[in-house]
Amino acid sequence: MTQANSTDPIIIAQDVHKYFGQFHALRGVNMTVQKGEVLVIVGPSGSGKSTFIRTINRLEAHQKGTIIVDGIELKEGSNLDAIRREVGMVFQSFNLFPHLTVLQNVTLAPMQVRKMPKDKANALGMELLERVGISEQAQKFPAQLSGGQQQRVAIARALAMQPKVMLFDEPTSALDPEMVGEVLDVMKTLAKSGMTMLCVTHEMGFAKAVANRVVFFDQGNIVEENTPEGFFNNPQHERTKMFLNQIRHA
Amino acid sequence: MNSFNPKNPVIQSLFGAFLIALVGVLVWQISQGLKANNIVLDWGVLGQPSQITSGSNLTTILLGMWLTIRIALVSIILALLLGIVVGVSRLSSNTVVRLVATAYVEFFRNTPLLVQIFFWYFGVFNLLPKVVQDSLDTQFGAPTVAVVAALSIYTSSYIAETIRAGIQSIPKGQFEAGDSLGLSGFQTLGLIILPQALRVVIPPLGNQFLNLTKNSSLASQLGAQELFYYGIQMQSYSGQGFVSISAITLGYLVMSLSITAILTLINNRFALAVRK
Amino acid sequence: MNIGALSFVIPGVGQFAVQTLFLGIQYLLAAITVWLVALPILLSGPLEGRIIALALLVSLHVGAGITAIAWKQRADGLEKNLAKAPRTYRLWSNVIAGLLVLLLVDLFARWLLSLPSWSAVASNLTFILIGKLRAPSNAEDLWRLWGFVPLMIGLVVGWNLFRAKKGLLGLVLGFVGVIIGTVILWPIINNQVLGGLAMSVMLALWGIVLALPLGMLVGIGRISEIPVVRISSTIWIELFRSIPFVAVIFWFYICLPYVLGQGTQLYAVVLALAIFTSSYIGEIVRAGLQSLPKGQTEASRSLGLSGSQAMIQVVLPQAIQNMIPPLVGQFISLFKDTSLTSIVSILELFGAGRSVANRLGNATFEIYLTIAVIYFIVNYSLSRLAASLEGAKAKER
Ligand SMILES: Nc1ncnc2c1ncn2[C@@H]1O[C@H](COP(=O)(O)OP(=O)(O)O)[C@@H](O)[C@H]1O
Ligand SMILES: [Mg+2]
Repeated sequence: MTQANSTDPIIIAQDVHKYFGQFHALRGVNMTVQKGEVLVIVGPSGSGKSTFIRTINRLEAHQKGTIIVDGIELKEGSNLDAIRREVGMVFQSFNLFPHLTVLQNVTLAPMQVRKMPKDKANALGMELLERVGISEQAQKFPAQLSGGQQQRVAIARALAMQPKVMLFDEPTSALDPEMVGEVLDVMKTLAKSGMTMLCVTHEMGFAKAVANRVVFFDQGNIVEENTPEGFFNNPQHERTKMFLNQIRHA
Repeated sequence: MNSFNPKNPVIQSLFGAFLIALVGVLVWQISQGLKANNIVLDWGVLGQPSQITSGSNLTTILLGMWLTIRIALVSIILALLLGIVVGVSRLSSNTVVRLVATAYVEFFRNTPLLVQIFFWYFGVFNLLPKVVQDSLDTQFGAPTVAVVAALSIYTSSYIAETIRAGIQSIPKGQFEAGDSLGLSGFQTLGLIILPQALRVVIPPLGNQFLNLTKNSSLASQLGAQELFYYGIQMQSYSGQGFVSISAITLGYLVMSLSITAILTLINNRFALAVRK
Repeated sequence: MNIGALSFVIPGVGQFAVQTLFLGIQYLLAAITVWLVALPILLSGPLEGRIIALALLVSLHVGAGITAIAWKQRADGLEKNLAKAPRTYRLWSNVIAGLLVLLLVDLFARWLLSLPSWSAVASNLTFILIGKLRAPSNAEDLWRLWGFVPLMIGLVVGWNLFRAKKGLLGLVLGFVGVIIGTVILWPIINNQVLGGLAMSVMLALWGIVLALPLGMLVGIGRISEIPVVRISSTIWIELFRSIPFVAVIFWFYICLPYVLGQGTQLYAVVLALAIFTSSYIGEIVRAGLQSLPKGQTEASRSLGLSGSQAMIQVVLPQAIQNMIPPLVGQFISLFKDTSLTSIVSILELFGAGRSVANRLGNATFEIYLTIAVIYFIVNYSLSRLAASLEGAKAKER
């Protein structure tokens, strides 16, 4: 397990509220994430997990409360591009760009946003693809890869911007069971290298192996926060217990 | 770095001002041109008696609109019937039927409507037996008959494609499910396939109706006395080009917007509930 | 004795006897139609007509009988292979319908050839193709038709480069070709010596060259987050889509002289074509952009790409692939719409044909059929192109 530096918060969320029209999706979420920490978020479907992590790179705007990422507060008019460069995101549905090769998917942002020269970007891209174990596929198009491979490309693509924080929204739930392992392995290596990570995932093995904390969401708020052992072996709340029962028997 | 924010109200109003200025310059240019040619815009011309009907110019325009509406309604019904037959034939298991239907669709979609109108009127109508010609002419007016024929056939070729696409959009599993429940071919078609296909085809069918209404303006080229015809007549009798074309435009806008509104209602009625 | 054999005598009766009602009605109707059409021809038609008519009648009766017998055997469980009866039915219905169509086509072709005025059409064909340019007095300008060569080369090469994902080079080359060609052709276009099909092609090309950028602009504008841009683009698109093209032509026809001066009806027509088409292209662009999954924009934004970078690098390249087939379709519409410019007396293909028809007086059917066929040849080729592009796209998936 990685050692988090407990005096150096990189994400501070205070009393975050989010509405979709009338619907109150986040109801005063408070959370602090330390640099190097690996946080696993679990909770029933529709509880606001995705919404919450999408507010952290402002794919969704919150209506009340404050979110501070690496010292910059997220609000109307703040430098979004700067924040998005610091925060990488991996989606459940990969969202690779189908018209670009695997390598081009990875090098697009460094070249366009960081104005990195092409050869340098290619070198970086190949190194990252090497790290996620698919450098042989660099010239293929996304549709020619398996789901697990696509998701690893998506991770490499996010890493290419050298983010300080990585967000994962159910990165393995769209995958066939036999491909889940390869993606989790990449994520574990990433966690051990000291990356700050927020992962929405129900993979207990992953949580037990690398998470510092597990956070349980229900109905738009955090219900329980615990260590992985505590959370899975000795949950405090009734709703947590019910939820764990459900996923164990699923 | 992010100093240029296009949502900034100042920039927005600047852009808006620019657009208004652009339109303003055009209008000013035109009004100068009008003045130089001693033309005065006279909206009162709408109230003056018409040279070609017993009413005023305005009632004449409305009379034209009424014929436009009737032409459009009759044509859309004929086009729908023809289109369904041809569209289903496009999927027939009989090769010959399929080929004939395909030729029909391709020919009528790929030639201009105006050519077809002239073809029916000057080409085909003249070949009909004299008795038939006369009776059609006295009953509906020969130009109207030719236009309705052309409009229905032209539009039916588009509708046929819509119908075919609608039927083909239904997954094969639906046919199989119908069969496996023991429904007959007709039952499967009527109870399972068509109700689903209807949802797919209603929006494009609505579009076809809209297009047909606009296309009916070509009837004026044969002298059928619909909206566009009377508008242009008003222009040539009064010399008020702007007023006349504005009246025409307004007439078509009103019809288009009403049709759109009705279509939206129908769409909402038929739409499948989806999670927004 | 198989009861289905009754159909050898009266088609349909055998089918009723073996209780395939629907097939029975079908054969009965077919029999009535076929006899009505074939009998007169058999008695007094041309030789090949009589042969086809005879073959048609024979195959009607034989086919009906054989099919009825096959269904009867199937009903009796004699047939091991249940698919044989429907197969027999399909075979014979194709033969009968095929012969019937052949007979009608033969009649129609004979009738067409018997029309009196084809020679008049033939002698006016060059007028229909190139307009007044064919007059001897315009002979010194005839060489300018070569302008179509760089024009077409530019377009074909440009298009292929564009398809090969060399978009910018393709655009530049295509544009250079169009410019060179237009410079050569301009004098005869401007004084409207050029006409007929050649003029229609020019009008359509200039219309699309102007309408594409304009349409892109209003299409993207329509989904812009900036209210002023969105509202003005929406008004543009909805306004021009709500009124007939002839009304648009008349607006420009009436207004433009006050802006540009007299003798500008050609510009009025080109502008009307371009602006009218731009509103339809705007809708194609909007639909193309919105058809992409939202995840594509989100993924780009989460990588730090700006809104316009995401549009240019990620959304547009994918959307353009989806837009090409409907854009070709819109070009076909545009080409058809050029026929309406004849209303303000541009002598393009339809206008030229109309003037020939008026002059000859007695050849209207032949002329308008010829014109329709020329339009059909051009547009059908284009629509095949669009279909093959769509097929290629479907294969990629
Ligand atoms: N764009 C949206 N518009 C309206 N409601 C939404 C939207 N996105 C999410 N929601 C609602 O917000 C709630 C939380 O959704 P989400 O964060 O996706 O849940 P989770 O990821 O935990 O399954 C759900 O009830 C969902 O229906
Ligand atoms: Mg979710």
